[in-house]
Amino acid sequence: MHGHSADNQERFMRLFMKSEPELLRYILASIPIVADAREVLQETASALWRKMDAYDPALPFTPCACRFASNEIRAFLRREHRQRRWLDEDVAELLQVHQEKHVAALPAQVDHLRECLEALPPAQHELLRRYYFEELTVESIAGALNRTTDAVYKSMQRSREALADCVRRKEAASA
Amino acid sequence: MKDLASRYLDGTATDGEVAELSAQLRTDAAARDEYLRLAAVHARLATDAGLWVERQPETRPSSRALFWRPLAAAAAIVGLMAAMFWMREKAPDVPVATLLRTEDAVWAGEAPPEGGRLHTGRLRLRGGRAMLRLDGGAELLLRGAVDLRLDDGGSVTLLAGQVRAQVPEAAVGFTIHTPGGKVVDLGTEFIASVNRDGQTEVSVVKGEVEVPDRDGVVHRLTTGNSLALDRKGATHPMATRLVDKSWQPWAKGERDALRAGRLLLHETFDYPVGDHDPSVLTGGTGWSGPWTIFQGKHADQPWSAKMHQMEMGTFEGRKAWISPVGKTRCQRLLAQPLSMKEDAVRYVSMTWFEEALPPEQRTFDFWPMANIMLDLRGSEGSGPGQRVGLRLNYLMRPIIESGAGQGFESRVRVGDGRRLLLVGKILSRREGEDEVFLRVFDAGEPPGPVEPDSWDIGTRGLRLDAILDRVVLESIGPKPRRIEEIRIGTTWRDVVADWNPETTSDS
Repeated sequence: MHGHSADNQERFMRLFMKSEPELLRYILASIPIVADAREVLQETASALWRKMDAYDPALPFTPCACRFASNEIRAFLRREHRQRRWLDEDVAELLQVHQEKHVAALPAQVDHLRECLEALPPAQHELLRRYYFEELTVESIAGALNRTTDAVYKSMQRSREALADCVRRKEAASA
Repeated sequence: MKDLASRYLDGTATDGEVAELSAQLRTDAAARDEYLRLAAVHARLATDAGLWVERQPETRPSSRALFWRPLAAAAAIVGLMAAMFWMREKAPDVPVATLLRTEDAVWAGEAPPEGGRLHTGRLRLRGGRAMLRLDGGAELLLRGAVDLRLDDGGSVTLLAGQVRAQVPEAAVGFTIHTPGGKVVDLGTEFIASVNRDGQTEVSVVKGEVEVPDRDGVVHRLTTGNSLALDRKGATHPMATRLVDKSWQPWAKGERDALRAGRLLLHETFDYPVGDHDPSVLTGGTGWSGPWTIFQGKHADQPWSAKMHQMEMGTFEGRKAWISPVGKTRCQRLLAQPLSMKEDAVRYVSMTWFEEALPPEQRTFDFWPMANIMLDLRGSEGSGPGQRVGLRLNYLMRPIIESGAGQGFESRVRVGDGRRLLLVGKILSRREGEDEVFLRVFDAGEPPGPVEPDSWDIGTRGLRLDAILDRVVLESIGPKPRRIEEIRIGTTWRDVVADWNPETTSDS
């Protein structure tokens, strides 16, 4: 294919695996639909692999991968903006600058989020679980819970806002 | 602004709203901060499966290291999939396995049906158990959170979680790839797991496997041996793990009890003993109206004398319709027709007692058309091809017919003088080929807890477009048959549950 050895492939995969969750979240900020974000992630993997020979192992992999992801996000937004309206490219880039500065804060945030999620009322927790964990569509969740899709969207929005506020409060308290 | 952001994250914002959001985020740093906080929650919820399993208390401390939040690993490996999909020339999506059975299974995305075909690519179990059979013959039991990729009929890639593999001799060479290397089977039963750090653990329950490490050394593990393989492909010795009982479900001899309310169609011929006008025979579930006796236009055999009545009897404590000597055909409409135009899996079964006949009477000369047939047909006027016929011919060979001259005859010969269970599997597809399989069981070889790895006969190149709305039962022969039960269901176990080939005395 590209003359890469099997060793190289394995090394690449290990590096990529380690960075992947970070990368996916990085992409999701601009392209929040998970299926679309995964597609961009895949493009990023291909682009990185093509340039693997030029990668200096002394440098941290994730920031480098984020730059590739950034290119792929731009390409995606350019390609897809006719299908569906996405954030403008320059706005996506502004968001990325902010994200790159705040990557370090993560581990504590995750613990905060976990606590906040557990504190949600069970019905809201269940709804988020179905959407994010079981990856069910809003339509099927609404059907199963005998609610309108509108009500499901509204509930998810309220839950996420509550979670964001809760995480913020915990951050302020532990700062 | 929060509303706009939320609607964008859910993909429900209108073009105008997205433009408005872009404008706000471009000029307002506080809005960007607000948006990113919401987006971070959204992204984390969507990618960190570990968030959703923490509430369940750990019940088995000894296995803690092994099961330590395997879901987090599943999430962490999404990208590996992406990379590997790309790196291996993208293969077409082809069926390579059959999902045999599940229990409390929760899948990521759409749940595949039991009995359905599984295609190359990703299979993610979130919880519960699932058993599948690769076309090469290896059977895999998945438990808990498992992230697996089906590569082909003889290999899979385990990205996270735990599987138990049972590999018959014909499937030796079956391979599980893992982040640190691979496990090659040499005829065996083994457990492989990948934890969140990408570490592989292999334990051989029975038989032998090979695990090559990164230095090219091939480790051979035999019964009771275990080995750990880290992400870099280095091996580490490991204490042998005991295999707990829940890893051996659905053993060969196990019998399922019939689950209430699961069958689409059921008839047990539970009617008073004696001759009946068919119009009063309205028992069972899933039917529309009573049985009717089919009046053929051109009889190729003398029709039975009892052309207007159906005789019900009890033998050895079992109710049955006694099909008379000669030829009879009766039919009954389904309450819910089965569409062959949709993607679906259905199983059909029929139990009857096949009287023994001297071999010289099982000849074409003696009774050429002798057979028993369970036929699912399309509505009147839907054409001769619109049917799925499951039958045994005069030689007791299983046959699948779909009208229009399409017949598929098995080389197997079924024995007589015993109770038989005929099971058909009908895989209908919205697009592409439909498939029908048939197998007949008896006391010597009763049905197991999962569908068999070989059928007596299966179809090729079948394309049905029918809405099957009736069951037609035909019996031809020099002796009566006692037809005891008919079932249609969506899983294997529903149509074979509680099947008892033994003859019991009245009690």
